[in-house]
Amino acid sequence: VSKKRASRGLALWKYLVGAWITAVVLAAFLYVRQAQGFAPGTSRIMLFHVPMAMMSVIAFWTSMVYAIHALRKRETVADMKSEYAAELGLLFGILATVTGSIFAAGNWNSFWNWDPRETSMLVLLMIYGAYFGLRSAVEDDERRAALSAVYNIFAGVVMPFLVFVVPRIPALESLHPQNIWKSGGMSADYRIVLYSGLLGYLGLFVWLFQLRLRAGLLAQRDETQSLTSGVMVK
Amino acid sequence: VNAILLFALTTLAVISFSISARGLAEGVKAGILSSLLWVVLFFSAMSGLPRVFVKEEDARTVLALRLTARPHVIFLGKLMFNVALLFLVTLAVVPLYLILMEPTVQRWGPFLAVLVLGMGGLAGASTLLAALVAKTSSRGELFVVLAFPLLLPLLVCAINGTVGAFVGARPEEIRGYLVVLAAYLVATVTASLMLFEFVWEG
Repeated sequence: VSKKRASRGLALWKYLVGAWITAVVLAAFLYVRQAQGFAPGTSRIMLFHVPMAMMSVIAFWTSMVYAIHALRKRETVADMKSEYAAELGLLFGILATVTGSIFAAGNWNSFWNWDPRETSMLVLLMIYGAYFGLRSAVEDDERRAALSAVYNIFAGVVMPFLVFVVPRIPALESLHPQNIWKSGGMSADYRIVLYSGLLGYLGLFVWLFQLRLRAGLLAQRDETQSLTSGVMVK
Repeated sequence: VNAILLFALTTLAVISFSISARGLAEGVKAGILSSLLWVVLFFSAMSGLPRVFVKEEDARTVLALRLTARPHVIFLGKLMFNVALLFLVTLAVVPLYLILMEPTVQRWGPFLAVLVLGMGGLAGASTLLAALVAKTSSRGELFVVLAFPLLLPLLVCAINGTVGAFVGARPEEIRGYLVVLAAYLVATVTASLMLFEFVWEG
């Protein structure tokens, strides 16, 4: 019964998030005006790009927290959660990179500039790409959980160094607007829609995460059932 | 060990006869030469470091090792082997590089410090990853993929520090890079000591 209630709650959540994000998209085009100082027609993409990048970092943090949990408690579920959070982080990260790249082509004359934030996003994507490479190279479930959690945490230890290093990559100063977060840098309409977008993505993340977790648990149950009953499925 | 040294010398030879930095402006030259030096050192290290644990798996001595010694002792032993290996590579490559490519080293102290800390950090971060990779089915190929994004901060600092030593930058400027390299070394070795157990027993 509780399972049924949970799945009904998830369905309700889905419609809520869907409606919220639809409202944010409409607001981004109808309510928000063009910002000054950008190439014409390009300023609105940042309403989607910035929260996507934030969301991807939040998802990677989530993944690392679950990795610590998986190492400590040796629970399969924690390992699955860590994997799914990393998957979603990668999804949001790729979307943020692509939208950022489109914006860059319009404003900075090139799809890729080795701007500090572009670089650090690229390194994040490479780390979690490697993480999935590692996962697919280990057959045994328990061992995969331990090894990938170790890599996840180790990456978390190294990440702070990027903060020092990245601004020193010789190419350029940051092209990203620097003091836009201070008051007056961004007009109120942008601020409202941007944070609403982040809220919407958080909701989307929770929904996708729960959905993925349910699918993963079902697949796992199928596997153990077919093993215990001695019937080969497939 | 022989293979790694030969690998390093081959790369060095390729670079030496294909690129001449003579006649370039001082700043550009320092940038190119320090990048190339670290490319040679990095790829030589990448060709050798993952072997330490794979060797044990291949020779089927892992179980015996696991029975006789505690995890952190094994980790420190492997780390020291890797450090020794990299210093050997550095000793072979750097003098030859200085002779063949003729960079002007203005500050020897910082230059050597960057080399020592950079190679130490390379060994420090790679040892845990080598242990990880030895437990997977693909081993060698995976190692570079896992290591590169994590070693990027180290490489950037080492390259910039070397540029500073080549052009004779102010000592405070180079000291910043040295501090980060040292912190990287300490952080990765500490984290490895805590995490190694889970890899080794897994």
